[in-house]
Amino acid sequence: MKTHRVKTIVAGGAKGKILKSDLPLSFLGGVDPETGRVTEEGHVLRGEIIAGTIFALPHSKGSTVGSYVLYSLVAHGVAPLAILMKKMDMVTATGCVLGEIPLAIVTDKTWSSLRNGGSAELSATSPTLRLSE
Amino acid sequence: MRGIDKERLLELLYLPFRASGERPSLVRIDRAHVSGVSYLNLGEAGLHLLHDISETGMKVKARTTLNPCFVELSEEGSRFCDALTFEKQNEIAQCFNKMGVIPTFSCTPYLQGNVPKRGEHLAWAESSAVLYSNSVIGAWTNKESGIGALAAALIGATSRTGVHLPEGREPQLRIEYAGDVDDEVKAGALGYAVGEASGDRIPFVRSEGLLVRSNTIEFLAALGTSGGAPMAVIESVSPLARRYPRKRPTRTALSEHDIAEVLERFTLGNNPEAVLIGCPHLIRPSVRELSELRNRRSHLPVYVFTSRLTKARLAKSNILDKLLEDGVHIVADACIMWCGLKTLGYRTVVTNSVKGAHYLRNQMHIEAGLKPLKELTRELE
Repeated sequence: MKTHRVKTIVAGGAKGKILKSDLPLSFLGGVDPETGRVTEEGHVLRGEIIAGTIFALPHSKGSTVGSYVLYSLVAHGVAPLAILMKKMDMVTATGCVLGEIPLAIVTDKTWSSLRNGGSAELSATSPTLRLSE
Repeated sequence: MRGIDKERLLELLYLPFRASGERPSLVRIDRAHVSGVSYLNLGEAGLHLLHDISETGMKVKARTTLNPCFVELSEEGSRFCDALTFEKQNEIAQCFNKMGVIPTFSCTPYLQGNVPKRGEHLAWAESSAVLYSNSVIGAWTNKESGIGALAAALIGATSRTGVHLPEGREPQLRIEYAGDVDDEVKAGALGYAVGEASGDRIPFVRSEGLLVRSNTIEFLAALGTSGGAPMAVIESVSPLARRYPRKRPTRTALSEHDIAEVLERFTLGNNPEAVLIGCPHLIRPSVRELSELRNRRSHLPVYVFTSRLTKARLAKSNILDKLLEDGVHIVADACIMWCGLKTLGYRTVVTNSVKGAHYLRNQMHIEAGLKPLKELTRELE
């Protein structure tokens, strides 16, 4: 395991498998709020389930209503365990605060070490992320 | 989950400073515009959240308007929607009413209902309105989340960050596009391609076609769909556009081929069953435009999405019944993501909005194709 420093936006611990997209995503119209499945046509993650993952996306795009989708994912029990981003955006961050989804910003270097399917552990007590080698 | 109170709403406004590490600073807002009004987008969880906020008794502290919803909130509108959804949508409207939000139900507050002035600070959600306010009017607003804009309205201020700072308004890449933008669909396709190329960076764009307002509106709406930036700098359109240096470190070239590639994604495999116009809301439909839609001889019904104010004005001029006789329906309050499309069972539609087509496909799972208004009317004649 290698430890990386992150910037905590919404504190909370999480441990799980990484689901990573190098392309941005709009939560509205991009993720089904009841199942956590990515639905955006042509998106690299289309068909994947973000529920129960450490979801990594560079930033969100599109609709400003995405926060409610994140909130609904939590209400339906299909939210990601945590979200890692390259750059914070208000739509995602607001949704994470309301839904109490841990959210951290990672450096470009850490971003490139995030592997799809790899294990990650976000610390609840310190701004660190541990990644499996 | 924790309940909602003023402290929680303030927490939302301080969020950006957690990322930047800077000392939190707020700026007083002149206007707010809230998205997250449609029951389709809010769902039951969102409705509960709004209900909880309205129960705090807090009122908005700046002129605040509302985005469209899922239905037309009238007796006529209730016929195009199941009773439960209609009731839920009314509950949402009541929550906002309690907070003192003006029920405009339109995504074009910059044209009607909440028109900003250059230099004003806003807390706006609705990406297309954010982009228009910053890029065309020169008002200052970040792309707030729907709930963030509401929090700012209730507090009366928002985070002084991003495009609320002069240095945050500088374009970060220059788009080179030499092709034509001769109608609103091409403008939308260009906006969509620019959004994909620029991600969350502010693009600098020049194109003669973007001097036409209906094209600018569709360009920015599509840019807000595929991209994350809150503004674009458009030559000869954006205030201060001339002040930005011509040499930008990053240049990205887009060609007519890229535009064609975007349009290809919206190719129809079936014949359209309806024509949808008004994404963003068509606020000042000209008599000529509407008569052209009336004069066609096709059987395709046409739905025009607009504000309740515009519909009331049209009703006064006694044009609504004549339009309806010819199959042109004017729908108020709702956006193109309208409950009626499901109720009426449409599976394939055609629109002149790239943004509209994108969300119809992805969120409503309706096959949506693209045609500019002039072709729609010509072809249907």
